Amino acid sequence: MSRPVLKVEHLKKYYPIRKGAFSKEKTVVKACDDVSFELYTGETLGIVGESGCGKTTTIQSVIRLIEPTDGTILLNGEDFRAMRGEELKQARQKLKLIFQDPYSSLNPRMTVKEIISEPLEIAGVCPDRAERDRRVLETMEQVGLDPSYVNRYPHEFSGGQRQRIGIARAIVLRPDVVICDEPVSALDVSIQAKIINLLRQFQRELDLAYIFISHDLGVVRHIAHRVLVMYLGRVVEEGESKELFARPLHPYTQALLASVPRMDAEGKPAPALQGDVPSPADPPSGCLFHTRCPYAQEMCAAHAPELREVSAGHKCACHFAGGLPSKGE
Amino acid sequence: MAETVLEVKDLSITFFTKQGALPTVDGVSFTLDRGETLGIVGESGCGKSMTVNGILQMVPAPGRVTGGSVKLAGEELVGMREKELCKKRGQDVAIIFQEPMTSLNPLMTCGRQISETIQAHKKVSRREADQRALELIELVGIPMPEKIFHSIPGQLSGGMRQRIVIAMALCNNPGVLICDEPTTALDVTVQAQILGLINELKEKFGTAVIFITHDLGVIRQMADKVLVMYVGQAVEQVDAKELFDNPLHPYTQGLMRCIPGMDGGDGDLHVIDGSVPMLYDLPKGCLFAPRCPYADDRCRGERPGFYGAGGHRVRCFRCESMGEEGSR
Ligand SMILES: Nc1ncnc2c1ncn2[C@@H]1O[C@H](COP(=O)(O)OP(=O)(O)OP(=O)(O)O)[C@@H](O)[C@H]1O
Ligand SMILES: Nc1ncnc2c1ncn2[C@@H]1O[C@H](COP(=O)(O)OP(=O)(O)OP(=O)(O)O)[C@@H](O)[C@H]1O
Ligand code: SF4
Ligand SMILES: [Mg+2]
Ligand SMILES: [Mg+2]
Repeated sequence: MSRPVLKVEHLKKYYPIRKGAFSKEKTVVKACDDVSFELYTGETLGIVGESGCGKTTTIQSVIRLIEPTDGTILLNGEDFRAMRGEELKQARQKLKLIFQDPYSSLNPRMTVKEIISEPLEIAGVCPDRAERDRRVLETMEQVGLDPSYVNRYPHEFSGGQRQRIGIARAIVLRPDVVICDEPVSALDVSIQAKIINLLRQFQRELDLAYIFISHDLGVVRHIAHRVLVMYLGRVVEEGESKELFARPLHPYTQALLASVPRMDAEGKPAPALQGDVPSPADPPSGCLFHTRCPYAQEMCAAHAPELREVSAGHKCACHFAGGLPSKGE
Repeated sequence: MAETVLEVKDLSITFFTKQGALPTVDGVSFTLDRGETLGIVGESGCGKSMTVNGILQMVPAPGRVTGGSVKLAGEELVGMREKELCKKRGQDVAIIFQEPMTSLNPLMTCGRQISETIQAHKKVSRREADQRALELIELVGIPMPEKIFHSIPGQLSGGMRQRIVIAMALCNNPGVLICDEPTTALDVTVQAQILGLINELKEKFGTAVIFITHDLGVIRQMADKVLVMYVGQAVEQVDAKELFDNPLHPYTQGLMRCIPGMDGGDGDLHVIDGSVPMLYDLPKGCLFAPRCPYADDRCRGERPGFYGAGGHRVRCFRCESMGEEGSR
């Protein structure tokens, strides 16, 4: 395969915090801890995991919206973390973000035209105004927004339409990588389906690479080629989407899949997991999952398992990976 | 013979706004037996929450109940005096919302909140109420109940808070428990725990449950029967199993098909054309006609009634040959 458009190695983001509300003692929250992945052109990498597991922190560190604590980020083979000034500005055009909330992520005082053309202006790629307007209208058509709405304001649009505006803004610069942080979570299923189809259509037409965050496993399964499963800041499993959903190796992934209420499965399955996610400020020893894991042994509390390749392209961080009963479908 | 605890007939709610009188809930009917769960499903804004607001006689202005009847254990709630209604709410029918903090006081310990709710409806001493509160905290599966009793809500996780709200809702052993998207804000593994808890309690106490959600997967897991809503109307009503085996309304069919399945399928997702109509600009005929793949001239000109057979009610002309289906 060719060179990855994005290669992330040992990425870390630690937040310093106080140990307790009244304590002076400092500790860190390892919101993103030793995350590595590669992303290729035309490919979608899904990131799943429960609230607070570090999905947003990871991708915000990747695009340096927040500065990572440690790690390497290679964008088209070049050291993205070393970039400054004009070079960074140019590189950032290659990485675009679509936000979860179609309501708060658009400036209410800007028209659709201003919102979509702003990235062009900032990047200075289209100095000619007429040319810029043409690009805006063209992009609006691409995302299925009627160009006659060009001078309207965000509040005049529905949630699904606003998300289209967000997508138009993200793709107008022809980026290499589009990062979607829960882009359809706030939308109804019928609108969600339209947006997902649209994202996939663009991927085919423009050869985009996506990082797609969602807590909806059905959506991730549908859109992602490869998937990272995160728990308390760490990647616990990585694999091709089809393989991972059919043969989840990590007990946490197995539990996640078992917890999804399914339309095609009658009956009332018992809860797959007991207890809550432990506090990231005070994570468990050894394997981070051992406090909730049905297979945990003594060694799990003592030793943290490595993320290791169990079968080709399928990695798992569990001492017993491959030796546990598989709970896929 | 099953004992009917709630009977809703032709419930209508109208909002009187600048744009006119908006039929927010339009003629919804159902019955609920002891120990039974009714699932209400539909997309955002279709009137799910308003329907239960109507049941509780808590419709916010400028809206009000403009028709129909709501009988709780045989007693009519529509037109009942506010003082009596207050007694019913929390005692005979309780409600749980999506966001637990809307039902909790952030400054009061969880235990005290529950025991105050008990005392509001029953003449018991503070000690007895506290004791009962502690039992309830244990009942909803919270580890270390004593510790949680003395905690304020802010110190708990979202799932734990929702358990406290459930404990509070159950403190007077209500006949009907209304759950308005109680797990939408929770993670899937925690959602699974809460859904399991509600089912367990329902079986233990014979509570009848109304469960609102936009997630058809949750409906499948929770409901005995289902009411599918579209723009304020019930469009399909039937036993849960039958709904999933044999959905008849084109809207229900569309909803089911546009959800990305866990069993893969790589093609484009099915979409429902168009968008939900505005209440001030409703189509003349069937409300779904502008988006329906089967719509013909009659659908566009005339409102369908309920058709169907064997307790399967569908608001669609395509089911007319099955016969008229009365309300149940
Ligand atoms: N500025 C910050 N200071 C301290 N801790 C932080 C900060 N930002 C995030 N965290 C913590 O880092 C962890 C990861 O948060 P993050 O938002 O990345 O999770 P997420 O997986 O995106 O969750 P969600 O699904 O809820 O969006 C959480 O425990 C969070 O509380
Ligand atoms: N104060 C109000 N004035 C006018 N219309 C209102 C008012 N409050 C609610 N509505 C309308 O009532 C309709 C039904 O709302 P409801 O909250 O019952 O929907 P829902 O099905 O519960 O949606 P969701 O899934 O988003 O909770 C909506 O179209 C809403 O716009
Ligand atoms: S390492 Fe142990 S605790 Fe961790 S997931 Fe595997 S079996 Fe469970
Ligand atoms: Mg996030
Ligand atoms: Mg609602």
